[in-house]
Amino acid sequence: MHKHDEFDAWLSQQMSEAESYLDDAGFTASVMTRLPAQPLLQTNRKSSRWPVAIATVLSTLLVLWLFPVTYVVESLLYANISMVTLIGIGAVAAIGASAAAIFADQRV
Amino acid sequence: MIDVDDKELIARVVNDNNQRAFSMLVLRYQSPLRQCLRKWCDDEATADDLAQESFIKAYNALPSFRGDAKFSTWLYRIAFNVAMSERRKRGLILLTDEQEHALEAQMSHRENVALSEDLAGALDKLSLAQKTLVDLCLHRGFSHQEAADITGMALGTVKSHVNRGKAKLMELLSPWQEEANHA
Repeated sequence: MHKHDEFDAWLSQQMSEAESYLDDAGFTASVMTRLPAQPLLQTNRKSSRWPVAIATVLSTLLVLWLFPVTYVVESLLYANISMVTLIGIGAVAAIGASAAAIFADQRV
Repeated sequence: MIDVDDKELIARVVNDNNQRAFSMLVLRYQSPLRQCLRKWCDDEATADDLAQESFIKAYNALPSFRGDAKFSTWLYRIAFNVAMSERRKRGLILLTDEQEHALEAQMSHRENVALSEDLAGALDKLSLAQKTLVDLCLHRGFSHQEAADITGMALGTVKSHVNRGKAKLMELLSPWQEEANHA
């Protein structure tokens, strides 16, 4: 066993001595010029989308749960707001929410 | 930046898009990786091209590097796959081929050519798998497990190749080793 250890050490030394250091000679510069130009964050972005999506769904559910739907509908009926106005308000809210979601995704 | 460890350099590349940090990693590993690839390809120009390809693949995959293994193990794994893919394209023997096992058996029956064999000549007498694994474990300091991770072989197979390779080298180099020790 001892003889084997000695041989291992000797062989390791011989192999190290036999292999000379390769001068860089422009190798690193050549690799650097071939690297892609865009930033390296795609994987991080993908992995950080899940917490954002989960937080969005949870906060939406919370708002829906707390939102006094009956009270608002009754108030609107008494205020005699037309259906067209209601659809308009809904459309504007939907556009605003979509724009906010796109903006938040680009910021991640 | 030359004294900064691999983990810190990787963090700078991934978090700050610091390409200079990546150039430090290339500079640090270019020589051993190119030397290693020269052994896997038998052609210096191709080996250098494959080394470049390996570094570019490593750069693109760097955000997925979790640091479970050493950066060097991960980088050599990429380079090994690139080299084996090239060998496959060229129709050369792969480490996991049946041909490799047949060749190994044939080599073990061959008579030793010369007692005073030098190291390079003795290494050429080994099969590709033995040569690769002896180089990774005894020369580059990778553990058997790390060599298994690099080559995708089972741990037992790695140990078997290393032991058989060493035994063959011991036989081929013993006169040379004695001579070197006396010199």
